[in-house]
Amino acid sequence: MMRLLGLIRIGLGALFLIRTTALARLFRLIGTSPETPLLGWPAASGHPPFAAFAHLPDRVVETACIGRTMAVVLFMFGLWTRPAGLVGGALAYLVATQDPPAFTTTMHVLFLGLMVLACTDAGGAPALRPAPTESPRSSLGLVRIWIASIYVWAGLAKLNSDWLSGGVLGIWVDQRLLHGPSATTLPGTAARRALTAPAVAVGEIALGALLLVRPTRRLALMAAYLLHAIFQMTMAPDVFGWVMAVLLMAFFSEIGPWRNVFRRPVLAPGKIASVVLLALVLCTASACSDRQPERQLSEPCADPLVLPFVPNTQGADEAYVCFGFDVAELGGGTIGAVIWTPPPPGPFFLHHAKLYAVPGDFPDGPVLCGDGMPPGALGLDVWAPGATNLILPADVGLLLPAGTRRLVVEAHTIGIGAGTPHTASVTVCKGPASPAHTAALMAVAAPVPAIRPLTLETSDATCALAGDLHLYSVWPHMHLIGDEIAVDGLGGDGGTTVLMDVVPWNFYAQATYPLGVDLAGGAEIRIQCTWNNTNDSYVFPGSRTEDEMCQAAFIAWPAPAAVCTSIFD
Amino acid sequence: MYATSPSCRLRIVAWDERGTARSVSATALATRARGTLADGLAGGDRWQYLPASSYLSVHVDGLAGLACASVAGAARVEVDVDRRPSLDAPIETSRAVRRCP
Repeated sequence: MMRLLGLIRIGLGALFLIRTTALARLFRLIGTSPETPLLGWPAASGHPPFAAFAHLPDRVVETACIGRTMAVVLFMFGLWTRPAGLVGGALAYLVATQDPPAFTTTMHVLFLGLMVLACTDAGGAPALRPAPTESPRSSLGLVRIWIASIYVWAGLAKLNSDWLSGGVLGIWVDQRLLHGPSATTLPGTAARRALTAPAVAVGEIALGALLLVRPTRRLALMAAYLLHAIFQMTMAPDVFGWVMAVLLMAFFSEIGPWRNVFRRPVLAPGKIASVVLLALVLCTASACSDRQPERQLSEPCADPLVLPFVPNTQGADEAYVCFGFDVAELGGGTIGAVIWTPPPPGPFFLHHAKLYAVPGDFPDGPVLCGDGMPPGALGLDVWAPGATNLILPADVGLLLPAGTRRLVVEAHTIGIGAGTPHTASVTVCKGPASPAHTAALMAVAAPVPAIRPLTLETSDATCALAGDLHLYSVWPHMHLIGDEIAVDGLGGDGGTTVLMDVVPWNFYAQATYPLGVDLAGGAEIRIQCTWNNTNDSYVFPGSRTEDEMCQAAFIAWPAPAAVCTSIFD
Repeated sequence: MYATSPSCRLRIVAWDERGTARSVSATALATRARGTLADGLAGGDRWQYLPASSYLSVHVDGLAGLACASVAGAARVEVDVDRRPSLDAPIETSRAVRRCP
């Protein structure tokens, strides 16, 4: 029991040191730099963050940072464990008061964990200077109750409409705070988010209770580790998952043999609950709550049209560079997928790229995009780091707009070094020769006013569908001062369906959003844009980046019905 | 802190001695700040998801001081911190007006 607490002490101390010293840079954790070797170390220049209580002189903060580190080293090695842990934790909190936004939940658990362990028999063994033990059992009990409370509080905090609606997850998706395959399966759609969010809240509360009860402890422990593994792989909340992995070791004892997990009849409500919880975590991880099959390219791209381009900045620090390609090579067929291959790391960073279907001429490039896309250009797909490729279902083929002559790649490129630029490409895969559904691009736009300085402007437009239509995806598009873009479907029965509402709009994080919505003929689509002009000059409509647009491009089928006529025409 | 979706934005206006107003980008303040303060201010003239959004509201007076230091020739500044605690919450505005030394 004592040894277990000692191992937790060593693990937590090591994580603390990794997180708060220059070691963090080895693990690409934020907070330290060559100028600030310890977390919270005052930077040499610039206005310091506003302190929580009182701003301390830099020398005091630096001394506290050093003292904190020394105390945690002593704590980790088991030298004067109790005073070292209490002093280390207190100094950590003191330093944190100087930069409140940097004080995250992860930091709180690290700092408090240090102090909680210091109050127990964690200094007994293994330790360089073992402290006399007082009550190993109550020590372990205290640590367990504290750990369980972390889950319960985390779950209770999520019992608000913001979280339960899936809205918070939606923002994380919009802002690309989620990574890995689970990031697209779990919260990929509003429906999945609405299922995932309450499951996480209820799961966390249940975990706290189930960890404390011996019959359910082993299963709850498995669920907890799995939950943290998923969190760490998707949103990587600092080192929180690693901290909890160490702390959960407190539940390793008094857990009973593995064979008892399934040998005993699963009758106790708690045990049933923990099995359900584990299933829920597994289910959520595999996105089994959504029966819609994940879009995947089931077979190699047939007869691909590879469009290579070399992102560079044409001598500037940053530029929008365009490349034109002949559309004739598609042979008039349909498109089944658009797959992006960004350039390997090099002197130029591809911030994002868009593929347009253009009805007129366009040079091969590279040319500075300058005045933006020619009139009538329609966005096919957009790529940004972390984005998924456009892969239509196997029985769907996308028709290019009539009159399309060129495919144009617009690459927002940033120079980050010297050397030869590397090649990127976008591969356009042909769709099926006789698709069950022939899709088309359908643009819905609202007029853009002359946007006054220091003014919030809005504009909206409504159009009516010619026939029944399946909306597969939507790519909303505004420029730099866009604040919000929303698209609603208005049914003939007067009901309104929110198809998409991107707020806050971020020009640099544009995305294509999956829809899967059927609208009947005669239904209306309303688009509404809001701009916040914080400049002291007017912003005008236009296709240049510094101008403004309000447009949503849908992929929809059947193609002949993909027409939305303005109701004011 | 990850259970809600607070967001905020800043609106900063500076007037010179002749009373001519000019809007100031929050990023202009960020270039004079350090650490998480700079992180929170950069791009802050647009709505952005900021877990510690109340931090900027609470310190709106300090931001006004920073604006004075950031804008050459400013005689007076006005800083508004618009904060939306959650997606469906009304916007709360904290304002500070300061004469610059």
